[in-house]
Amino acid sequence: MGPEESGAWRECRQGIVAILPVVAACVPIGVVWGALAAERGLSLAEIWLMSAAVFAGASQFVAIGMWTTPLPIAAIVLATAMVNLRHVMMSASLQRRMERFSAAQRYLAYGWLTDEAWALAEARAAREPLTPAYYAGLAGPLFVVWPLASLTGGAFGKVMGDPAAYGLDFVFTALFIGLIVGFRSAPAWLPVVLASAALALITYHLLPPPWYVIVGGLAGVAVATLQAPVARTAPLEA
Amino acid sequence: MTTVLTILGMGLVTYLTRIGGDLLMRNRELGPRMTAAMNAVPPAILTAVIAPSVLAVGPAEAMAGLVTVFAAFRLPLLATILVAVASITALRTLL
Repeated sequence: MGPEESGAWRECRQGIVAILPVVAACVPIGVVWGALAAERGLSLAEIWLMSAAVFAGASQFVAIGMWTTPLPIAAIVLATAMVNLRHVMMSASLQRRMERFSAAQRYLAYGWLTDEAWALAEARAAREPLTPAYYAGLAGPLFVVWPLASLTGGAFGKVMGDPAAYGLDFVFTALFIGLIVGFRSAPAWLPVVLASAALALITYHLLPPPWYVIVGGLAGVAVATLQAPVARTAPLEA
Repeated sequence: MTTVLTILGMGLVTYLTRIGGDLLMRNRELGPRMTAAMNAVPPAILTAVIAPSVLAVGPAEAMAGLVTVFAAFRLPLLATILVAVASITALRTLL
């Protein structure tokens, strides 16, 4: 068991190191969300519960924006599903990388799926096999810190001010740009990225918020299928 | 009580989206087209998520985005993030 354990711990530690910048950047965002939620009348217990049970920042901001009395439960739940619809594509891709997970580990791992942990897991899987320990190192810290940051915001209000003032809102954008560029040896990378960006922008101007992610994502995937014969002969990175 | 129910409803539908791709795609034999589609999901989704926050906000975000793309081709991830935060802060002050 000795070497096995230390191997798992090393994997876990590498995951924690990889996610640390994201954890740091999500603290002020969580604080702002918690402050907004408290303004709408959620108790501290409810604020913590939503961040732990939903654990998806964008949809939590949308839900709090819709939080009025009487509570439009169906509309909020539907909006949540729409904002989070991108997860379907994410787990469809990630499940191919989870040969080393038991069924129980897989369904637990999906509960912690976030844009950031998923993207870093995909980046890891492009280089070496993804292990449950590495994934736990990625997802675990966020799952602890995000609800705590929300709770802090709910308790102390908007002491922090606007994260945009420190450029912290741009950390996620920068992380995603770095990861997108990191996937550049994938087949048809440039057409995929250009198609996704173009259709996301057009949709952003035509339809309400969650749709640009879905339409832009599907556009990139569609372009990749058109280039499939190229993909078959080109060496796959994964 | 309705608050807790709403939160639990949100949590349930979100979990369903998270396992949705697994339920749809697990144990499927993928042809070359589906393989290409699945390989494109990470760059496609990540690009779609950030495209408006880079290109539809203002000149500072667009220019900082460009700087970040150049940085990403040359630097490791953490250095790229630092360059991005420095450039967005400077550009927002200047513009």
